[in-house]
Order: sequence, then structure tokens, then C-alpha cells
Amino acid sequence: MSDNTVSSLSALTREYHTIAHNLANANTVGFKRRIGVFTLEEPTGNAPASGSAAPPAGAANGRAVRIHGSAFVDFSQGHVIETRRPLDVSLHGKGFFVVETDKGERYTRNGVFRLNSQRQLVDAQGRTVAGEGGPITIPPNVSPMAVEIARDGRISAGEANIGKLRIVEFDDLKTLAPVGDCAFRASKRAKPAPATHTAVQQGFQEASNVSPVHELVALIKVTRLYEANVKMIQAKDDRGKDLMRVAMA
Amino acid sequence: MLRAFSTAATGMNAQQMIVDTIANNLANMNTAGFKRSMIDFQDLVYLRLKEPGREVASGVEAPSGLEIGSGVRPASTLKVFTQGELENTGRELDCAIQGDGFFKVTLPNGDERYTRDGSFRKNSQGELVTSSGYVVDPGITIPEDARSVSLGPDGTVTIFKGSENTATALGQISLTRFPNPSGLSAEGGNLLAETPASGKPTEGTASQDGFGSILSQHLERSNVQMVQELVNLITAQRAYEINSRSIRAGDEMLNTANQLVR
Repeated sequence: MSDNTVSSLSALTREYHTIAHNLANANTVGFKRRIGVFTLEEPTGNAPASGSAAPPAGAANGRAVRIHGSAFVDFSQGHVIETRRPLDVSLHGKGFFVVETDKGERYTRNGVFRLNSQRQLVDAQGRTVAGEGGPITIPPNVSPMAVEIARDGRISAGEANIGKLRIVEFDDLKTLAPVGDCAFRASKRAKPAPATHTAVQQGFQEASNVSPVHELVALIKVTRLYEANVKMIQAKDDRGKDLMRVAMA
Repeated sequence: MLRAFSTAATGMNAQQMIVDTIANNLANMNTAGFKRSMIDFQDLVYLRLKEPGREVASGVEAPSGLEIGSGVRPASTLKVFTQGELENTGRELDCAIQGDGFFKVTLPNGDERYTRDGSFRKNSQGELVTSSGYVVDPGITIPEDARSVSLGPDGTVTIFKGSENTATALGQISLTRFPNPSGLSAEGGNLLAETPASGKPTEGTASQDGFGSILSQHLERSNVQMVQELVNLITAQRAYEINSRSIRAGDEMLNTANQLVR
């Protein structure tokens, strides 16, 4: 049986997983959809021009084109939803909020913040949100409903200056890998720099950038391609049988 | 394939929870002092099949990895403590908090609960109680011969007795505040309870130190916005449908694969 067709089938299955995951997160604030990328590997044995994927062993002697999967994160902006909740903040631009975990910094676009019992600004997981001078603490005499967040991330209440959200941008977004809980981990060579092209908007949430129509179209495509590949296996099987019949006759 | 079924199932589950939350918000549209809930989701952990930045040839790093997500999970429900609309009711014992703070009530077993619902009344002993009959803290007893009762912006309760022309102060309703009001647990009956996440209560006087002011003869309506809830409802319903589509597509693929074995 053709090894290439089988690997195409498993690449398609992975693509299907990706779509199912995207659709499951159609309503997750700050979620960035994954795109499965199929690289068609030419059977000539030459390394792909972009250098993005290694030629798999044995590809050189096959004649069929093999589908090779890899996944990217689509960091495009999601639309914003007005909630009027003062601790909801959305980002416009390519920046990220920084949250502190025991494994180091994580980056997120989910700005649905709240306070913990020490009145520090935290996210849904209780991870503290980084300010430019450490965690942000709202003073006890300030109502969380009275907090104002400016477009540059400066947090104030009336006259009082409380702090500034730390927002970072990356030159190369490909250095970010999703780790779940709406967060991304940066690889060692990533250089988070203070944001210059990102605006903060208070009272808004950034919706997931999954477009259901887009995903459904991809879903249909995957199902049909899968079917086609299975047919191919069947056809080869039939050809084998025919050969056998001719030989035995 | 089967993993993706459960991924899609987490998606359907999440949408179901949104619908449940919206249903509760809508049901309480006319509940005084009710605060709408919001549910917050996060994506589940990723199965990493290939690391990004791995070396694929000498000196060449792969620009992207291969990871498969496993769906979504609810992270928390969040009560949104924005101010509800204030409505003039004309009832002298109705009061609304404009700004930060909660009324404190004492349950019969001595436990303390907190509420934004200020539709107070008198019980048979003349005590100021909530609509469910819980005593408002600190206990204020309105004498039988009180002609009229009024509440000041700082919570002072004053009455005019019998034929007297001077007001008598009975006491003061205090307000309570929490470091993290969203961490309070909703107990039903418009009552909220302290939790470790909410932090310790601080008691204070209304209209002072950032506490809200008390507005008598008014009630705070729920902060549920019908249009917003309905839009969310439609979104959730469609997302539910779409997630079921992805299960169906997976089923079709499995069916196709099954045809291989004839």
C-alpha cells in the first residue's frame, strides 16, 4: 500500500483536529486560530527551496506527491466586543499582555482581568498581569469599577496614578508557541520589546479570530480530500487484484 | 479522529454553558441588584508533535512547529459589577447603592451575607429586613409610632415620631467592600458570600473613602442588557451548531476509512 497516501491521510486527520480545535474556541476571548499548512513535497529528492521542511526519507523514490503538515498561528486581530466592564481590555495592534507564571513569562491577548484577594490585577488563571514596575495593585480605597485604563496602558483612578500595563511586541511572531490557557510561550531567540504600535482599549474584549465560515469550508475540503485519498488506496488495491488475476489466469 | 470528537465536544459543552449563563442573566433581568454573569473560556493544552525552532538541517531552524489543540474549557464565571440603572420607586424603605459597596445582612444562624438589593421592609418587630426577611446589619428597629422614615446618602436612618417636628436618628446602615467583588460566591436570593478569592470585607460609611452613596426611594435594577445577551445567545447557538458539524465531518471521514475494508 502506498506509504504516501497513508501519510496524506494522517496529515488530513491532523488538519481536521486543528479545525475542530478552532471551532471549539470560536467564543474564546483572545484566541488565535491555527492554520494547518500543507507542503506538497516534490518527489525529486531536492530539499524544499524554503528550507522549511526536511525531505522525508524515501521521498525521492516515490512518484506521488506527499502532503506534509505543519501548523501556524494566525495572529490577525479578532473583532472587539464592547462589555463596558472596566477590567476588560483589548489590544489593537500586534502587542501582547504579559502574565507571570512559575515557569516564566507568558504572553496573552486575553485581557479579561480581575483582582485577586490582594487586589492585584490577575487573569482567569490567577496569574498576575505584569506592569512596567511589577504587578499592578489597585489601592483599597479605589473601586475596581472606577479604574481607568488609557490607550497606552496607563492605569489610573481619578487623580491617582496606579501603574502601567506591560505590553510587548515581537519582531517575529513565529517564535511564539501556544501553551493553552490563552497564553503563548516565547522561544529563547524571541526578543520581546516594549510595544510601540499597540493601543489598549478599556471596556472591550477581543473576540476569537476564528471565522466559522472559513473553518467550515476547510472542513469540507478536508473531508473530500480524505475521501479522494481513500479512493486512491482502493484503486491501487484493485489494480493489484487485477494484476494477480492476469498472472493467475 | 476520536480525539477531535472530544475536542468538538468540549466546544459544544462550552457553548451550552454560555447559553445556561445567558438564560440565568435574562431570567434575572428584573431582579433588583442582580449583576450579570459572564463566562470566560480558555483553550486547552496543546499536544506538541514537533517543536518550533528545531533544527531540520544544519543551521536551518523550522519556523513553525506542529501542535494539535484539544479544545476549550471554561475558566471561570465572572460577575460583572457595573452599576445597574437606578429606578425611583417612591417607597421610603427602598435604597440603592450608587457606586462601590454592599449591604450586609445577617442570616438567622449568624452568618453574614452581602447584597446590592436594597428593597428593605419592616418585620413584625419593626426591624429593617431584606425582602427575604434577613436582618440588615447593623440592626435598626423602627418604632411603631414612626410617621416617616428617611435614609440619608451616608446611610443614616432618621424618623419623625408621632406629632414631633424634629427628626430622630435611629442608626446608620454601613456598607461593605471587598478587594475582589468578582470572587464573591452567589448564594441565590440576591445574596453573596465571602470566599478566599474575594478577600476580607472592609466595612465603612457610605459616601466616604470611595464607598458608594445610598440613594433612598430608589432601587438598583439588574445590569443585564437584553440586546447584548440576545446577541451572545445567537452567537453561542451558531457556534454550537458548527461544532456539531465538525463531529459530523469526522464521522464522514471515519466512514470513508471504514470502506477500505471490504
